[in-house]
Amino acid sequence: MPAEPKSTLEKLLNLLGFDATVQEGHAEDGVLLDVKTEDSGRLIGRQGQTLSDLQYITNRLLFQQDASVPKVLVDVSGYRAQAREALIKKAREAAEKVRRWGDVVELEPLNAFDRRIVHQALKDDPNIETHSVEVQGTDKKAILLRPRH
Amino acid sequence: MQAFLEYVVTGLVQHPEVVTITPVERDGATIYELRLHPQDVGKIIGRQGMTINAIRSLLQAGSARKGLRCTLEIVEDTPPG
Repeated sequence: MPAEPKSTLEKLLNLLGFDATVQEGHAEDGVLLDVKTEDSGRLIGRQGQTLSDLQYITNRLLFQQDASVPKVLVDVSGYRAQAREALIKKAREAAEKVRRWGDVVELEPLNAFDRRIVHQALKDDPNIETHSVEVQGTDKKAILLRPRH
Repeated sequence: MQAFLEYVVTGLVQHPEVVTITPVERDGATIYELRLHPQDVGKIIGRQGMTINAIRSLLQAGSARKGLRCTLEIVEDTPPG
């Protein structure tokens, strides 16, 4: 049975009781499925957690149908793109603080995917070093911005 | 919500024919008891519980829309004797 990304996601959303439409497009390395629904807040979840879970389960189901299927990226009304922009903006503002005052700035704990976005956004900045550090007493990691010497 | 669980679980396992899902009401919440072929238990739990936690999270998002509380538990029946 060939894997059908769009109809698999539509079926999941339908069974969960979401009134939604799915638009198929191209992502960098696979298929982008953008969901439009009136209940987008609930589908995205806190810090995008529900959206990540939806993407994970969709990929697991597709992989089971056909192991050669390309990865599917699931978004809700462009939420991922916006969250990425907001994170980069926050990283640049923190970098500006470091540059201006020479302070060390620690961002809030982020998952690996989001930390990568921050590292990438600042990797060409000649004044800033970024390090991932463990947040004491947790298994989470945050990024430290330091002046580069 | 049962149809959602059936679709996801049977779509992920090697032995969909022996999957059973039984809703049990407790303290105003619905607990879906999931029974699987022993070889499929690890598949549904996933690395560090990733898969089952993702299924639970979607189950919660879907049921909260309807004002329900639902959760999913894997039941491993010990063989008699």
